[in-house]
Amino acid sequence: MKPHRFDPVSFIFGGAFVALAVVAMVTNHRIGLHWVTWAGAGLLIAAGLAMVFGSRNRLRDGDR
Amino acid sequence: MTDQPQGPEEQEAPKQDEAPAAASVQAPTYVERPRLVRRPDRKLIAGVCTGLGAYTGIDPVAWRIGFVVLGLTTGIGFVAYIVAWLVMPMARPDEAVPAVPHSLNAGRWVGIGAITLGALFLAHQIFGFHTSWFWGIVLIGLGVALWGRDWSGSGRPPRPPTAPIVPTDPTPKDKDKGKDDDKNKEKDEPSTPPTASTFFSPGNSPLPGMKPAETATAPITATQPITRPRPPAEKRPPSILGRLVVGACALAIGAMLLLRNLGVMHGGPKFVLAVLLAIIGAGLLLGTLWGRARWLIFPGIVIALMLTTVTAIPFNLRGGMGNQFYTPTSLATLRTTYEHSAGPMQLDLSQLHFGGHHRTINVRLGFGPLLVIVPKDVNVIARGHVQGGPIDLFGHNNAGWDVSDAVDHRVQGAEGVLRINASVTFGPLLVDTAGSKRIAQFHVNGFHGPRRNG
Repeated sequence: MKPHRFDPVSFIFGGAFVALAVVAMVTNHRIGLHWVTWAGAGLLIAAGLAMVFGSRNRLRDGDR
Repeated sequence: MTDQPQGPEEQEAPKQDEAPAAASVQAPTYVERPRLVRRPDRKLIAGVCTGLGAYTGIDPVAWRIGFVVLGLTTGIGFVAYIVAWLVMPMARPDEAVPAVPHSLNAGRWVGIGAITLGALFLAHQIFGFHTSWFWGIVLIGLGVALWGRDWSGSGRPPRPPTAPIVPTDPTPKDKDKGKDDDKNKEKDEPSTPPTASTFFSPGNSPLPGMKPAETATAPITATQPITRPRPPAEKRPPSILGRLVVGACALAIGAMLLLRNLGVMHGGPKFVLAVLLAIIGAGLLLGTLWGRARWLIFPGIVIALMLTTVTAIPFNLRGGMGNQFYTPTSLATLRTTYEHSAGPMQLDLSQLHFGGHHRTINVRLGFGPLLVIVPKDVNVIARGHVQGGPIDLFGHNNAGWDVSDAVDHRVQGAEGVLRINASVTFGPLLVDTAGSKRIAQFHVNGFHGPRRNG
């Protein structure tokens, strides 16, 4: 595996997946659909921002 | 459109002996504004999105995604597509049209879409914002933007030329220089001058049945915007990160099955999904700096959705499958909990005699219809919950998603009190007195339990 520049998209999704897995494993409480909607909205916005800024950086670097 | 493309005779390059005359008069340089037309080339249905893409400079895929999303969410997309189909004429075979852009930056568009969806969810959560307002505003904004472009003629990225272009007047010095350059160039390259058709997609005629040379044959000057072909992307060697993560997932599943068979671990599907998601998430976090395995996002999303569903929805996966009928005949045989995983379930309590006793029972069903028949001579306090489906407690009915209800059903001369907590994940729930018409109707509507008369 070669080192490369920080990838925000992988970071956002990786962090969200790990967080969800930990919450699911640690707690026995049911997650209400209300909270699922909030979390989904937050994840979508974070991932979208990461993609937009990631693509902007690529364009800036000339990699279209 | 005021300036239509001229015939082939008029599109020919000026002859050499006419050049001095052209040098004295500044010839007007113009670029014809293309019409908004449907395109027969690269079309999927009617060529609407291809035409919109060529006109606006936005990849047709983005237009298609927009139409589909609008169509599936509000239905407006389908109507708008049909209207565009009717309004937009098909491109003429001899019409010069711009090349269809295909430089969609998928990451950017997906990102913008994700932000939009997230903002919609948030607005709905916070303000109760209705999505139809949003789509209305988007459509109005799109219309205003396109209208404004027509008036201003600006805001469009440089596009390939669409009409014959008159060469600008070169100075004598430039002419001499050009001659020298041409002489040098002839040694290496063929003498054919570049034409507008050069700028259409390679190997792609602008319109079927039309040769590229028919669209425009005028030479192009150095002042025209030239779209350089995109250099082929450097192929990266595949990263082993993805294979590592898949291997780790396989190992984890195998280990969990082994531990489960040995009786060491008792985790259910929720635990297994959480472990897999943690491995995938860790792989992605590793990929932020070393290796690349972005494709893991997609299986991660699928597993996250499954885990969320298992966590958020109270599935009842205990008990058997198929038809399940309980008919206790005495309070001694009455259990406190009845569970069934999937299939029709009926709990018939009509043969019980309470004799002044109180009882509480819990009835849970995963998937399928649940029918609870209670005796006529007891007071019943029924609480029901259905994750998805209809619920009917002694004629008090409701339906939908995550529906709960409670009914205190009292009768005169009651012999006892029965408390029922019934829940169904997906399916109808009916709690009623023996002999009611609703029970008969429940049977008619597809419940195949043993029928009772009276």
